[in-house]
Amino acid sequence: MTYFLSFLLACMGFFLVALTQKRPRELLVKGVPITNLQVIVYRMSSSLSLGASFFLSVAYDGWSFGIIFWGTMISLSGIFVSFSITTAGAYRKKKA
Amino acid sequence: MFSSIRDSLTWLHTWGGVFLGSVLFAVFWMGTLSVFDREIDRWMNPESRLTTLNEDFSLDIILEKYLPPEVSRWEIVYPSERDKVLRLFYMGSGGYERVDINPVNLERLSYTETAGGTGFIYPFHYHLMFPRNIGNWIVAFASIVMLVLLVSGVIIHKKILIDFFTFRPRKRLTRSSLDLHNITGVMGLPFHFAITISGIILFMNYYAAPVINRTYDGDSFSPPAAYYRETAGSGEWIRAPLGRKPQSSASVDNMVGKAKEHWGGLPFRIQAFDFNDVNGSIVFRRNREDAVPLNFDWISFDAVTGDLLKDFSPKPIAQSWRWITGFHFIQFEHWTVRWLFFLLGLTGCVLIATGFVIWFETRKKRHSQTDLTSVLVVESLTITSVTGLIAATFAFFLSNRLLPDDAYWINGSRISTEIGAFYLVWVLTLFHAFARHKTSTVGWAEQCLLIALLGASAVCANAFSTGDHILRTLAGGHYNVAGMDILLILSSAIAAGIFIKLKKENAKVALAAQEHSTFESRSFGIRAEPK
Repeated sequence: MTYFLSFLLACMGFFLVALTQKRPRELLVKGVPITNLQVIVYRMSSSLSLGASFFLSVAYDGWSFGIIFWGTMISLSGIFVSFSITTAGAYRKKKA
Repeated sequence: MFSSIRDSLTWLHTWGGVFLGSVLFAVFWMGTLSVFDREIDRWMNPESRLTTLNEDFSLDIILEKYLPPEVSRWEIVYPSERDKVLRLFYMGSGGYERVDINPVNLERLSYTETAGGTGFIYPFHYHLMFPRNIGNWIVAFASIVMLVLLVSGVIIHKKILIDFFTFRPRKRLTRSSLDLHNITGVMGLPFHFAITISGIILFMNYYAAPVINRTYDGDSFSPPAAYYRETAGSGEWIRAPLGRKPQSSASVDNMVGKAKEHWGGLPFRIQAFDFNDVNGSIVFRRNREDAVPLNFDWISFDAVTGDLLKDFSPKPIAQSWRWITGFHFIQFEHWTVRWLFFLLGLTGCVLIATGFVIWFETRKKRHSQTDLTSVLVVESLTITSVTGLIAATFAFFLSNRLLPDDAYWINGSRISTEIGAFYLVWVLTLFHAFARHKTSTVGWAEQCLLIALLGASAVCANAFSTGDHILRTLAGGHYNVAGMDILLILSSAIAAGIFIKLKKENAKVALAAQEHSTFESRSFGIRAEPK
């Protein structure tokens, strides 16, 4: 459960970063413009989310296992977010 | 020669990848499978598929029951969560003997003669089965090139932040492959970098041998015994035999109790030296499952009195080296991390394979206009080293289930026959690639179909030869066997999907070429040559 929560937090962190970028925004929110303040808020929230994911991993598994788990899981969550955005974008286009 | 540093790094990234991509793919593919090497062993050796783990048994009874009296050197490998069989090895009069024992009822188990994951796939990962350390050096060089490729890949990627989450699977093959290459390369960078550099550090004994020799006054290419004595306590457990037989031996169970008390857990391996001598010793090696560092801790006991002789633990610098090697070896008990390593290993394979696809697709037009033998060789070797290697691995699994027990056709051993099947299929895929490379992606497509067929056949062969089909293994708690079957089915499905996609693409290309030819013949009034 802790691993899953840590994974979800990491995905959320990456998703928030993705929302501040041009291409994912085009896919997800039809490229609605984003303000500078929103960018700052999203990226800060993303850092917090990724940080929480890290601390959760280390607190649960200890430094040795926790770092290895987080370091590997973070890569997969990034890839997962990339594929999810693609799938969600394709679904939105199909629906439209 | 180059107008900017980015241009020179692009050149380095491209050609480094083309020349060593095949070796890197082999290392990554076999390394990824090695994450589950013992689970592969369970699949390839059906007799070892035990469900209950028992660590509470008497070694004294086992030794009395299975060890011949004249044996002076023996070894016991403790059962673990991943391999529940207790194994006794000894040097008998007829050579090295192996006894597999069910630790629940202490009955002897038969076993299938197979190299399995630990005997073939894992060694292939780090020395490619080359003799005399040649493979180690090739893998080391390829690993250093991999680090260069990873770093140069990040630098040459112009839009690394913009493309961070971009994947366009419906775009043309070059674009979708490049997106996939970027995603797996950038997202998987920490893992790929860490696993590659830890792999290099792991074998520093070979690569940094001159440095070690200078410190320890050695004079050859391999480190001297003094080095291994200091870092791993090698050989210090052996005492000079006195040539006198003891009246009796001390209880090994008592020694296990002392080792357990000393480390707070069971050992994973016990070795006896000069067991039939009054100066005999028994060495206990510490379990490696409870921590990341690869343990080299050991304690030795007097085989006659049972007294503690020596307690070895490496020095701090060796401890840090052990953490790095432990990270790479992944002998610790952590299923989540094991799966993450496996999945990220696969992303490494995707990274390398998509790199090849990009190289070929961007040069396809140019290549089709030339008749370069080098292109033919590179393309054929690439197909063989990617899809051919996967097909050969699946053929290795299938041969394990189809070959009879007495298939001593190569070198008088069933193990060699299984490995022979692997190389036979690999060589055949090379011939196939040479024969089919010119017709667009047909070579890739047909080998994907071969992978799909071999994977599905391996699952069926396992079900028919052992009765352990997926439903039964899942219900019976044989998750390692079920997991292997499921992964084979998934691989087959993915390979079949790629085959269909490439087949459609080939049909489109052929249709476009036909239309182009018809258009030209109408425009110029020339009758098109029938194909």
